[in-house]
Amino acid sequence: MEMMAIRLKHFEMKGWEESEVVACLRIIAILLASLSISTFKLR
Amino acid sequence: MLYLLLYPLHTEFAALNVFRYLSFRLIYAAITAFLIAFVLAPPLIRRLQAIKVGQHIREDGPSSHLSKEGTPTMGGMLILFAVMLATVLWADITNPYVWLALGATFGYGMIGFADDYRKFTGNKSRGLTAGQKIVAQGLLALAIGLFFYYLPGYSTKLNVPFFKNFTPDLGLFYIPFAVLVIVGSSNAVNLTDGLDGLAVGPIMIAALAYTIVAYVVGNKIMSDYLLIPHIEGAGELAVFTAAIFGASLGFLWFNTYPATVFMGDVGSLPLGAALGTVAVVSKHELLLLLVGGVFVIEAISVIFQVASFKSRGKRIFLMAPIHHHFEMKGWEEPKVVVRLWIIAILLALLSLSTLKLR
Repeated sequence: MEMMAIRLKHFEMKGWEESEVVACLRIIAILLASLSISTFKLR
Repeated sequence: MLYLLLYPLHTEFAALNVFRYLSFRLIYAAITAFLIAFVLAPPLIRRLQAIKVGQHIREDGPSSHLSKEGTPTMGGMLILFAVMLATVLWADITNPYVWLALGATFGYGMIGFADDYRKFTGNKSRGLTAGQKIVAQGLLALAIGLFFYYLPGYSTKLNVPFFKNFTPDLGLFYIPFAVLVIVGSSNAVNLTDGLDGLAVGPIMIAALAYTIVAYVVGNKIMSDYLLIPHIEGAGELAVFTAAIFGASLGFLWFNTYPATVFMGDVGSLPLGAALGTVAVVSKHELLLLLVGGVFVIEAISVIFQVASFKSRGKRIFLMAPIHHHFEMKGWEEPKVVVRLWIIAILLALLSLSTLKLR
């Protein structure tokens, strides 16, 4: 399924720079945190 | 806009009552701005590549930067579009502060666009000279300063971090002070924009800090509790700063090392001016020195370098702005960037602590 598990290695195998993978996963983490906070109000 | 359109329907659809809450709207402004920037960036990058809007790399800079030659620039247009659209969608558009912040951002964006266009065409006569640029920035900031000075009920007293009772009244001098804050902030962000993701990271962090400041300042109960001035309506600016945070985050996906697009002056000048304007509206102008400490350090490094070279004939740093100094010392570009982000986060936390520590 993937070139290499864990997923972050998969992106590196696809040619992404290490710092690029790290930054993109950080961005996803921030977005998920924002969505999580919004659940305080959305219920 | 959604607030005006949907909230009045809450009597029929109870779920729409959620649009009343600033906290809800600012989070979704951030997410909307992120999605706009994230979705539109790839076609914009392809378009910029097609019309060959590539960054010119200074030949006297670090040699590792020469490989960046031709990377598409002017991606800041996307940030501006995302910020403006998300703000108009989620903020209360009857609020004058929202339009003031959007106007300042758009105006500085136009100045940055003209400046980028000059670099892109290589024809200086078709763009702005450094003098014209600073005059245009100054005039726009002067208009904002005058707006505040003549705004009924707006105080010209300064709110000094860590001091509860020391609030010097600048009177008429508040106008040049506001000009200094906005123009200074705009140019400091512009100087910082020299490495992949370096400017956009601290912008996000400063925008997040000012989202909290604007929210607190606009809330009567919280501002009374914290003994800070309450500015009626300033809370809506939290939607604007949250949109800056979201749009910058979406842009960072493509601007992180190795960058596939640069923001250019069309991004850095208006984002700096936006932070300056929010600092003025929220009456936390001096706090910007701390929140945007990374920008201050970068600007000061250039001032000291130039002053030292002109007065003593010696340089303080291997290269200015200071991020190039660290590169010349052998630090990898991502390391310089992330370490300056860490400093920005620490300074933002320290800044927020001043809301209580006074």
